[in-house]
Amino acid sequence: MKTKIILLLWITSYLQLSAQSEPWPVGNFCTLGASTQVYLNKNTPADALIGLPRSGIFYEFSADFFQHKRWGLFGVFRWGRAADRDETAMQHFLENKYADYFVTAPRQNADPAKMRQFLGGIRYKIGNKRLQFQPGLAVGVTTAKFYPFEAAIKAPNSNTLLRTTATFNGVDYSRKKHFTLQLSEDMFYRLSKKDVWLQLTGALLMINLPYNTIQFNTQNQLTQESSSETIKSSKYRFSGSLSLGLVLQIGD
Amino acid sequence: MPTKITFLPALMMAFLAIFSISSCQEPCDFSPYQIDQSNWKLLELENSGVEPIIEYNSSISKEHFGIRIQYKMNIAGKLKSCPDNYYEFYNPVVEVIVYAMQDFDDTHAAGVSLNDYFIVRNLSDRTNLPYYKPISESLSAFVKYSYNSVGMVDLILIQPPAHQGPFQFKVKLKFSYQDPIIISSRTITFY
Repeated sequence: MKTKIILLLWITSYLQLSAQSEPWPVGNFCTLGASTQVYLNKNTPADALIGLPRSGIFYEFSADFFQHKRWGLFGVFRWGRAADRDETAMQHFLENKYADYFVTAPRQNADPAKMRQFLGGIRYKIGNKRLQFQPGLAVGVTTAKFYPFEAAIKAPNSNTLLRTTATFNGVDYSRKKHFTLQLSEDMFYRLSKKDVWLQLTGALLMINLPYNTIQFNTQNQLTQESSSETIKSSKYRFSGSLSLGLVLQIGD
Repeated sequence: MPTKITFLPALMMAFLAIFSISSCQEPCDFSPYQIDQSNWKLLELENSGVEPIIEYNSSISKEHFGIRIQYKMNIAGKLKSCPDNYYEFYNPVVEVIVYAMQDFDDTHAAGVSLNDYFIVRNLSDRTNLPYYKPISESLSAFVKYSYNSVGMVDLILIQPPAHQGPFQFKVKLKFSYQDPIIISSRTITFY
């Protein structure tokens, strides 16, 4: 239960640049920040093999276009690590599967898995000059890249040697575009007349997982016979975020 | 504006050119290292564990038997500060035939090639996971440079003989230029 109650604390510092002379938040803005996303799904065994963490830190860049009094457009680009490089889970999995065999440490390419998100959507502004709410809806894509695991499995008292490769989505590495939906609610509270705003943001993301299939290809080195097995993870991954930030307007 | 656009790539190219000139070290004519192989040996292996190890006992299980071809590498010629893996074997192996001095099974009498019954890998390739191939596909395993000047090629028996008893294995190596050589194992007893 504890993990379900975890709220993500997301402290970002923002630098808002505006070329407009109108008071914030009417105008065009650029935002640079960092966020933490906490995954709401229960991790499946397949997720553990991939090394999906319960939470992830992402950097983000966003642009807001508020030319209308109430409606605005925004775009977000997030990037960060999608998974931890952790061979332990894979080692345990293979040791359980091949209980009577020697399992060498699974190896993976050294690069950590990278994830990127591109989102664009609309925001609606309600409130006054002191307190504002901006619910938003955005759609976009998530891409993630994973490198395969390799391991050698040797039978005791025999020359039998198996070589297994675990790939994600059945390819050497997966870098496909996957649909992502984001519902967000931004709250801005003006701390001073000099346009210093406190920002509180909650968002819910739904990602059509780019890493929902793990395929094990195993080849017997003696007979050169191959076999394959597929493990599926959950199709969609939900994550929530809550952020607290400070918004500064430079200029008038 | 157009001048600015053309100026920027030109500036980048100039930087690249300066960088590539400054990072150039002493001239290297890329003469390959000349490698000569000698002291060919055949050792018996016991493969009951994770990796094959040399077996000094003459009694070995036929289920996890292998042989190791070991050779010494002499690097001749001038060494330069060129790429380390740039080498050339004087007299590369062009054919390998493994056979036994006793009848192996119904289809493999004494002296008949047992190449189909062995898979091979070169041990100097330590960075990779064990990856064996049929002998016919991996002649390159016999011409691999190793830093410690000792080349080791493991041949693992995938099809044990039908019966137990004494066996002696021999490997005939044919080279590009020199006469073939034959290396022998000890006479061992399969159980």
